[in-house]
Amino acid sequence: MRRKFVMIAISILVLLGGTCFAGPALDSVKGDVDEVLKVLKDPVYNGEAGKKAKADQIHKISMKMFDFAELSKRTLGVHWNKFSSPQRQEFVDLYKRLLEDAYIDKVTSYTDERIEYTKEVQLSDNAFEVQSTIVTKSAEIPVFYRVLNKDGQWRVYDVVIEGVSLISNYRSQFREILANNPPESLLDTLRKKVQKK
Amino acid sequence: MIGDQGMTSKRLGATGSMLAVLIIICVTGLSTPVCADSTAYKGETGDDVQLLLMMVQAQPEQWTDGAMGEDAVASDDLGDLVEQVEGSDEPMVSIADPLQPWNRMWHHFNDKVYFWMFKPMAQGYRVVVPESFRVTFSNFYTNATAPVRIFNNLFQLKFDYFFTEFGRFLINTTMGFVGFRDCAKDCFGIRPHDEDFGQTLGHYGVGHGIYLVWPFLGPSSARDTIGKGADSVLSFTGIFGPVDLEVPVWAGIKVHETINQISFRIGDYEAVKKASIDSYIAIRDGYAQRRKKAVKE
Repeated sequence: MRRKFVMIAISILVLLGGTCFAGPALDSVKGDVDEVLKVLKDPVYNGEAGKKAKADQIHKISMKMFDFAELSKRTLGVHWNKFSSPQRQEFVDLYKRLLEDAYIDKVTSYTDERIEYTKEVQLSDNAFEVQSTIVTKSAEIPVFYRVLNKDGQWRVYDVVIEGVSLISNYRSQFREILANNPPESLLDTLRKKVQKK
Repeated sequence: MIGDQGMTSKRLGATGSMLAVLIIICVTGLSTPVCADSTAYKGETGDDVQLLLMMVQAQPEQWTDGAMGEDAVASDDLGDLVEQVEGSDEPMVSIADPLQPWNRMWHHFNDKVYFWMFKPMAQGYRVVVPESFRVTFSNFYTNATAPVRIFNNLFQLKFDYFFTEFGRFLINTTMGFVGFRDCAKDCFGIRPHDEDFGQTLGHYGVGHGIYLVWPFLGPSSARDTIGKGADSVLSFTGIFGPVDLEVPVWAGIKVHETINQISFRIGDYEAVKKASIDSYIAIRDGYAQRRKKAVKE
């Protein structure tokens, strides 16, 4: 009898957990992340020789997965309008390279962590937050992707890791520079940072 | 051994399985509003949504320079933001930092401590101690601070989490061999819910006060420093009377706990540092954002 009780409780739990799982935004993010995982697990890219090819593959996927223009606009907020068109283009490009350089090592160091997709939460008419957890042996790290639907394409414009939004974090750093300096000086800082690697 | 779930439930006995049912129901109760809370969530991130709406309406702008690389973004995406909401470029979370020069000094100090001391120690430790052992130690230290989570959930009247943490503590201390195994999670899927006294203060509306960087301990705030003090009283040794430990032994345990924790996260700080323009601000903002989320949950 008691065992039955436990079984019922467990099945309720499972049912409730499964009711609002998937959606187009979640499927899209999961699809992109799965592609990255496939590259990471592909033995073709093993060793030092495959490292460059692996990074290239991941770059290709990230170009499709992220909306870097949107990401840039949201990071700069109202400062965006102070940038001229060529400055905007350069900013998007530098920002993208900064992020790629910084996180490619982190991504390629992935081993056998499990990724669980919890749900998608609607933020506005065409924006969703896809919530996932990276489960390692010692910790569970919540990673949320904020995605925007443009012409039927879902693309990521912010990543929130353990409650820390990427674009908010950069906004607070760029703000310090842009508060007293022209856009050119932020671009200059970024150029130096990206070249230094 | 205990890995077998069938075996485990037999060992549980009558009270044990009733407890399991109770906990499962608690957990079920928690997972129910998962679908329903999307609207509530919307409200909470109002600023975000507003910003978002504003940006979505960005006007396409014609752009003359055509010589862009293959990754160039379509020119349509680079138009002006049309509506400018007052103060929308403010960070969504902020923390007062009147002691910035002082804090920056300790930030710099901690950076050196990490690269010269903690990192090499953790790297060596990681080579010598297999991962499964390190996980085991990590479980033990987590279980030893269970009273902190139990009491702070209680202080915030979060009874569901209080029972979850209490249940976890009972299971892990008994079936988990004094906490060396996180059996509550492994055998029953009962996940922890972290609360500390800083969060309790935040829950009742106490703000951070000012941002503080402590040597060795890293980022904190006036509020969370007081919280840490209170939590040390609430921790295992605080409640059951300080076990008579010599200072060097106690310090040794603390160092081991720290190195053990760091051994799982080598590379994280490096990534943050590499990705940031100003690592001090990046970490300060990260701290403020993370604590805000922790208080809200």
